[in-house]
Amino acid sequence: MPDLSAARSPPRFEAGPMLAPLPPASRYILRGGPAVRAAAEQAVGVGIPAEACRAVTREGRAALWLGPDEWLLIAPAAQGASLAGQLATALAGLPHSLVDVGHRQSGCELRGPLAATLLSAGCPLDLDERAFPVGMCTRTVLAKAEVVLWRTATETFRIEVARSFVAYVSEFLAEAGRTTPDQGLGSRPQLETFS
Amino acid sequence: MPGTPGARVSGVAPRPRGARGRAFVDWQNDVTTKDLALATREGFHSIEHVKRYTTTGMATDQGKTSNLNALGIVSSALGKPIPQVGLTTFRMPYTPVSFGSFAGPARGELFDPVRTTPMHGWARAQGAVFEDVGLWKRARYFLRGTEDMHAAVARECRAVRSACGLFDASTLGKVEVVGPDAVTFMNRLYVNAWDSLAVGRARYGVLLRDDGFVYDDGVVTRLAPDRFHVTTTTGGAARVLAMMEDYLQTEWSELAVWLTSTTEQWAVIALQGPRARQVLAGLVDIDLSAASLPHMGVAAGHICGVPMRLFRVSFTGELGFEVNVPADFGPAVWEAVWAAGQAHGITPYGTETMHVLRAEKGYIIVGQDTDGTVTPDDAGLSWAIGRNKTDFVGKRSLQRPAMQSADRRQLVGLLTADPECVLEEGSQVVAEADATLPVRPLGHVTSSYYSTALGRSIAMALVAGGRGRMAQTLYVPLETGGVAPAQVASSVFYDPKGARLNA
Repeated sequence: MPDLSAARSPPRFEAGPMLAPLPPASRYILRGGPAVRAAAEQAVGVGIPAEACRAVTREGRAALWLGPDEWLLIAPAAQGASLAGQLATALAGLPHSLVDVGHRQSGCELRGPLAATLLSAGCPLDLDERAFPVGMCTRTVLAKAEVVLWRTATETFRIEVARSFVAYVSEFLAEAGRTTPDQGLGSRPQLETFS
Repeated sequence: MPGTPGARVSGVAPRPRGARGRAFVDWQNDVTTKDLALATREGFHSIEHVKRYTTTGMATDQGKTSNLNALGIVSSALGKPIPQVGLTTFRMPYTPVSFGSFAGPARGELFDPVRTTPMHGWARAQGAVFEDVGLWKRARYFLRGTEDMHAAVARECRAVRSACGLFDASTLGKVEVVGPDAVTFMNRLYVNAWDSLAVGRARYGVLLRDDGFVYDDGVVTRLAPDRFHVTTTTGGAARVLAMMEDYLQTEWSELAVWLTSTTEQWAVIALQGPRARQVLAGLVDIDLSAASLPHMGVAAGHICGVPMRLFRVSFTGELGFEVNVPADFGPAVWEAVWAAGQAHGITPYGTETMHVLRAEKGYIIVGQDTDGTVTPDDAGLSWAIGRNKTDFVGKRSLQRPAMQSADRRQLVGLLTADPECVLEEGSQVVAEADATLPVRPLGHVTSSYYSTALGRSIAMALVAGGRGRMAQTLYVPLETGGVAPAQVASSVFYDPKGARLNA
């Protein structure tokens, strides 16, 4: 019998001038009430945001608010088992749901001064830093794919997408890159108002 | 258009002189010369009023193809030069906009996302012909040598019934339902009784809409007292999860239960056939004997060192297993199963063979054998309903007299008199061979295939009062003219006692 415990074939984002695929990670969806959030915070070693659409990260671990009772927890791949164990211990007796989604989705990073502009080709949200500051995250759409979008730095976004949409998102961002003009991006074009 | 200020301009009526019919002015909003004349007769003399009365110039082109003609016509009707008629507010688009601008990147490869499973590359390399199922590409059949589809499907069917077939079931929707109230939630939502489902056991589940009609189905497994692994149809995955969340958030917010989509977390490798156990036995750390893992049994363990949820389930009527591994491991585990199966005649099969095999067993496909007007009883699924349950979504609707009428369309089997005749799916079913048209049909054919195992064609049909018509001969009008006589039969054509399933 072959030992396949290291034989992972993660879906591949196509690296581009601005797009960097991220290595496989451990991911869990944690769902439950305020008591669960507080108890999990102790176990995870990273703050778990109570504020809507905020992400907290520390030493390679991250917690993203996805809903009033739903968080996405991300940790380096090697820490998956220990993270799950710590959470199970901390949450014993508290009604909650903890589900492994490490292979459900894949992540990439979009970096550079044009990152927000590129995303705007397919995302209807206002990605101006005043409206979508560093540390903000949300479920949204990128063209026809549902994604979790997280601004990790002024010019860096992390995108999490279900694995079967990885090729589409990769190609969409590449296409947006090919058609995004490279000048005059500092300011938004003035749209005439009309009634 | 003449440019002289104050010149009288006649609007152009875009039709040949003397032609009958309407002369259209605004081609997007279907405004005609007659409409404009009527507006002026009705007393709308301001062009802004004419515009709003007729909607001329109000379409997405904002009158770029019609305003000057409309102005000319109104000018003639009022006997005023155009400058006195006035202009409506000039709006975008100021210049023609190409369709490409609207389409943006949504063209070619990016027209829609193409979703593929972790084992897609393997299937492609093995000569799979794919079909679209929603956004997914699923292997439909695998061509060998000079085969056509019919030959390939017949070969794949034989392999599953006689040896072992390998099937990619990863696209099935999956939802993990977790929390102390998980069983209560499942009881309220699905027709089945879930209290009696033991940990480590699976059961076929049926989901209705509140109107009582079948909405989705799947296998529901109890992994722990407070944890269910729920599968849905491939196409229903998103809407079933949405329906679950809807009920949870709006009707039953008091329940301590949470939902997580796990459709893409798992690669699902289905191994079906009398030799499936032998293929799998050397790869897993689980006792696969019928005593230890019976039909609809579930176990957690490892396959080649990879964590696995193993479901002993079957959509073919054969002894079957569905190996669920975290999706990144899918290709490697698939290859290992493939290698282990070489000594046992393992054969990859696609959705077309899956369709034939399940039809031989009378297993329905929601959306093919049901169409949103089919109750569980119509589909022959009354046995799934928890009789002692006080409520579930759709229960109240099922109690309406019309939903219990004996002449409702019920799912039955049809066996054509000519065993080589494979009926067209969607064909009508009628009572008489030579009735004069129009004829009120008794129902229609929902599934129809050539069955290699039975050496003849089989079909399923929804027929009015169908279960009361066993052995009756009905008629199916053919596209080529004439009718095909067919006898009403049970829809379980193969191994009705399920001996193979429980092997």
